[in-house]
Amino acid sequence: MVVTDWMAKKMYDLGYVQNLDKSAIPNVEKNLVPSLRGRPFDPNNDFAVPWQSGMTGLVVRTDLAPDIKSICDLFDPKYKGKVDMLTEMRDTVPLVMKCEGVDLSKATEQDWLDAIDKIGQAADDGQIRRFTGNDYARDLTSGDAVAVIGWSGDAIQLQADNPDIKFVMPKEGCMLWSDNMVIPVGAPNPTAAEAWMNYVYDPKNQAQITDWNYYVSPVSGVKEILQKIDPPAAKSELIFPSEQFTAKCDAAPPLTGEEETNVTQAFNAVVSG
Amino acid sequence: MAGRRRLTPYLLLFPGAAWLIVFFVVPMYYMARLSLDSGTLETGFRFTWQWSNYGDALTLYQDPFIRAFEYAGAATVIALLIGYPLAYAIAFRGGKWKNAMLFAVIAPFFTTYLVRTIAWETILSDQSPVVSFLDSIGLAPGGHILATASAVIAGITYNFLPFMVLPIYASLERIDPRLIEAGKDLYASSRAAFVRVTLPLSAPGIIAGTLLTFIPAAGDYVNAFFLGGTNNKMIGNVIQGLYLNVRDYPAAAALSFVLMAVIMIVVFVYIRFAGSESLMGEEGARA
Repeated sequence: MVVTDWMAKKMYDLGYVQNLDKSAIPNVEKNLVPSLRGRPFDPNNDFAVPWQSGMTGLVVRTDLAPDIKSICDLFDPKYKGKVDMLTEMRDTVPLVMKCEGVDLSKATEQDWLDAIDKIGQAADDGQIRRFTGNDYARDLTSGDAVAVIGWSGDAIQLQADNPDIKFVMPKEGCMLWSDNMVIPVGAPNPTAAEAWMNYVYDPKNQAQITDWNYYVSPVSGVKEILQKIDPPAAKSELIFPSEQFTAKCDAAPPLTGEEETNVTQAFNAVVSG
Repeated sequence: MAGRRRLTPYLLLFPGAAWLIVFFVVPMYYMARLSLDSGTLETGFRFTWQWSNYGDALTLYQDPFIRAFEYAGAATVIALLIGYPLAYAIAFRGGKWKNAMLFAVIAPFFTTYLVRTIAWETILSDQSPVVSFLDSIGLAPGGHILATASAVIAGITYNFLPFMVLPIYASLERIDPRLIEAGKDLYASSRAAFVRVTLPLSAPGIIAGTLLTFIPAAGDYVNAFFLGGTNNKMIGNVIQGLYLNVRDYPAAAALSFVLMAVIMIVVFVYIRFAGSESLMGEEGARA
């Protein structure tokens, strides 16, 4: 299975996901990029191996809204009804918290709830057109939305059809996340799964994957290969972001227990109530 | 011999009853128990007679509840206004095109519900020629239909129209044309014949059609999800969110039962008002 960071951790804690046989996946140890090693929720890659990584930020129709450069700009009444936000709570709310100036490493439950209130207010006023998953792509392509909170890989794919659609790194920074390969407990063929993980961590094979979905690759050595087969992709800062590009980007702050319940309920009331 | 005869009705009922018990009664029982649980996915759910789940369900989610019945009601009325003339035309004026027309009514069902609704996202988008046309003739001021209540109601009407048309068609088909002739022989005008003969005889179809449209529409969430904006969520969306995002299964189960109870009350009142005899078709079958 491939699940996001926080879900991988939750599943592991609930006992749904098993530990990996390190001897079956030597390529991971060899080729995992340094920036994705030692992640707090699984420092030794005991149960989760990154599949692809990405950034959540602003995806903008630069022809219709050239001056959107920060998350706070999404609340500008000029764009009322033409802004989408993600249903993914851990992308949307931390970004709005950043707009409010919150330091995510010190975010409290109240910070989360305040940001959710702000989003709820904007939703009631009609500032936000809708909360979407991937289908913000439809709104952007048709022009029904001029700016959305969206994912970097989608931006590159949309740009191919409409060069005016661009990923804009918000002034406040973006959210960094990775999707992870995990193996559920009771899986009938974990050996095959581990063989797949090993296969995918060979730069040659990974280059094909990255060339297709345009997300950030967790495997080193891919950039060199892409320079030969797809030079524009190799140069893209969205696929191989520099330190400077992601300087202000954070991973979503963790939420557990009662905090998580309260925040999730509040966000759910805004998004589906 | 007599013993075996007596068993036959029960044996005939058995497959249907078994299906109902396994796939309806048992899950309902589990859901009822779940609705009285407390806890979370992490801490585990325990059965604690938590009636507050129901209290919360009733107080926290009134807006989407009311909206769901408003939208479903509006969609049912519009579907009736569109569906009845359509069914009438097919039944009485169809001639050799009857089957083709019926097929045309059902044809959208060959695509899945989800895809049909997503297609409407494109049809009703702000930049679509359909919306521009409606704007130019004044039916869509502002040229903005998608992400509003109108879009959701339009989507529900479209998706449930066959459920309205087919029962009405079926009951109109059964009307013996000699009854209408008889009415005309007794000096009824065409209009009077329709109102005094055809309409009452098609009442079972109307009742069936409206119920088949209203009940699922009230719990619908797909149309509100794709075609609605931030203020158009229905109770179905809330239940879906509670179940999939918040993973608060007891609350979702409680809300589902509340929705079921309210729909049953509405339907019960409606049937009493419309006359349960016409529902059974007594009037229609032999007049």
